[in-house]
Amino acid sequence: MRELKILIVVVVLSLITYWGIEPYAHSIMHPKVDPVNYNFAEGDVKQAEVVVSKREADLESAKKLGESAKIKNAEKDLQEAKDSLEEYKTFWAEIGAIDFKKGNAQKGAEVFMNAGCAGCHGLEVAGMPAPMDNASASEAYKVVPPDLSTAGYLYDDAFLAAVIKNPNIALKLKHKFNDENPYPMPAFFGAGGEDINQELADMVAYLKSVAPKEVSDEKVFADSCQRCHDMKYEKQYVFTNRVNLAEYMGSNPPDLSMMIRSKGADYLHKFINDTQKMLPGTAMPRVGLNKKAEEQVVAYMQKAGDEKKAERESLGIYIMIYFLIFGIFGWLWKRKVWSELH
Amino acid sequence: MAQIRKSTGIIDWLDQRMAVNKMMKVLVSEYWIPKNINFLWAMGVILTTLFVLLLITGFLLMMYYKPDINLAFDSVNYTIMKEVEYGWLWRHIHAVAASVIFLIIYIHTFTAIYYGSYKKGRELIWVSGMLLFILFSAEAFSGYMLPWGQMSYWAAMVITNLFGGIPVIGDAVVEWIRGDYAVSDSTLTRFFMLHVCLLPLVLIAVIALHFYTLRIPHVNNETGEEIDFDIEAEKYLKGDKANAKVIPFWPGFLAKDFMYIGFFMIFFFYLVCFHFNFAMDPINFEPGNPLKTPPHIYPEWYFLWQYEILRGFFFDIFGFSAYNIGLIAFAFAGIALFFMPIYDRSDVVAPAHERKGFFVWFWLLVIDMIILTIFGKLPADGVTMGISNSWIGFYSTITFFILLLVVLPIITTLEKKRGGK
Repeated sequence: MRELKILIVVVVLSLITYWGIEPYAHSIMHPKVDPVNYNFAEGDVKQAEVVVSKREADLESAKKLGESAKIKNAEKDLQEAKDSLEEYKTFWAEIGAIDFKKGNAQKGAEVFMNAGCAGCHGLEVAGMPAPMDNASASEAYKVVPPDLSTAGYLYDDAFLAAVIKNPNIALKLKHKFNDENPYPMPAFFGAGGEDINQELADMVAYLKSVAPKEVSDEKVFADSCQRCHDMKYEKQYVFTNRVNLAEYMGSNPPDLSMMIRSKGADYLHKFINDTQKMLPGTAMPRVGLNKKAEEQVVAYMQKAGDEKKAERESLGIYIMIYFLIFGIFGWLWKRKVWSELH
Repeated sequence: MAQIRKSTGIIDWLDQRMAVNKMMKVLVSEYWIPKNINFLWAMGVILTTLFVLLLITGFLLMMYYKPDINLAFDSVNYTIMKEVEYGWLWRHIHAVAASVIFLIIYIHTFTAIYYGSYKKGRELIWVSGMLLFILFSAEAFSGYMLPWGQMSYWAAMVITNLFGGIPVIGDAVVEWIRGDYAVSDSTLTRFFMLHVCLLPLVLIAVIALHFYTLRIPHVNNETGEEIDFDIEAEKYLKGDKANAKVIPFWPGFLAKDFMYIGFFMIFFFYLVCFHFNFAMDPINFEPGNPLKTPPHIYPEWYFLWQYEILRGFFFDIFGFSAYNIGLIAFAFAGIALFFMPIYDRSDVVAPAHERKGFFVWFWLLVIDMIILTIFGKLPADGVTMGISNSWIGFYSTITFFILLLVVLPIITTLEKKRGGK
């Protein structure tokens, strides 16, 4: 029984140490954030509120220090956060007012042409190839515009409409693009119709109608990530010219082969869902995938970075059973040897 | 030359040439171990097992690993993990064993402290063991750098930088160690050589020395009883096995250890196959990037207590800069436990629970080291339960030194005056 007592002491001390350096330390280093939210209207407003309360706290601590320059900066930051909250509220309220049930795919096709979408984007499924090859598109826009064939599959109605209406807000890139340095894709102010909301609903209906019903994980990854990111362990490389891309993003976006291991699935879901929540100020746009597409991207990353997971876990069971039997034989042998030692 | 006659079999043939029977008696069947020991005495054999695992998997990994900053990361994460059959298994066994071996080393070390196995005739066992600890630290550090992950790179940067604190020649030493102005390809290749060649050779030699130092004083036992091994061995050999206080290394001791190894390996392979990342910093799955500093730089868990001592002194004292004090404290922490036989002034060899003052001291040391370990990982600018982490680090660092350098000599001197216990 003494041995059991000792074992318990050893195990408890090891577990306390483990708890301190793993879950506890990591919870301090990576403060908790709200879970993934596919309702972007709700998620964005919530996140903007989080930022406002953070800025308020910053202002409080600046006031405590009493340095006027710092207080001024904190006040300015707080005002910006408040403006941003208002902007998100208004923007998503506008999107919320769109009745997607009334969307007409046929009319959407016309709006799509009239609005000039095909000037930059390909729509392969409808027989419209991209107007420029990747090299020229990289030169022209700094990043290759996506082919929209799968857009109706990758995004839900609200996000599609939001990105058409005002990509800079929908992609959460306001800190990067403004009036002097506009986002390459202009906001949509209507294509001549009377009701802009109707036009948005029509275009969404059109993209939904042409999109394939099933898309492979690899294709989802290509359409959502590969314009900027490599996945070299799967032999997938960026579409955009790297020099233009580095200029556009500020640095070359990382290869995603090992991302599943360095960040973990949970972080990746949250990051794809809202980049600014996880890494404020990052140049990467919010991806905005719907739940299914996002799960496919993460599954693809899992495949690239942790291919042997299934093999590892099934073999693991056998190895453990082997050592259990080994241990039992060891115990029997020990009993035999020690029977004459006592 | 000895008279060689026609042998009766292979053993006899060998015996005539190498005295294998005699050797087996000395090393195994008549190498006596006290009977009253518990599973903590199995840690040595578990460490040996882990070391052998590290050696074998290390050789397998070396077949595919490329010591070149442009190839290293992918040779580990792509070639070994994806292309080589069971490469993931060797890699995870190697990585997990590297971490778990330190857990067992610490248990092994604290067992020795608890039962007073470092003194009265056993000093060399202790000193060679501490030497092994230092060598394993160097081995672990040089190996940690090889996959060229982001944390490997920055840990190497920070640790090699520490040598810059040496007076006068510091900067030159740093450059000499790195082979360059910054951590670079030349650093990687020399660390590769150290990790796979020089250090393992020295390690094996010191492990042999460690075993040899055990042969004459013999291992300690659960009650610290002084056993006359010759008399007890004679009892055993005469057939009075039940009353002899000793058992032979084989089969008596190893029979038990095989069982412990079996059960330990279940836990070990659970980690390897289901929880390998308990020991791997996720940041290390990003390739080393000299242009991007990780938000927090910290070493692997087993160095955290020393790391916390390094940064425990965060303010200047009497004109000595915090940096230099921290560096001296860190250097000393690395070798502090070497001198246990000197700090402990008492001759009593007994388990801590039979030495009142020492018992309290022992658990204070354990708690202090756990606190150092945990706060070594936390960001220094944080606050825990209303106290700033820097101050917690400072106080637990001071506590570590006071416990070793002041408290232990005092309580053991008092113990000696009382005549033991």
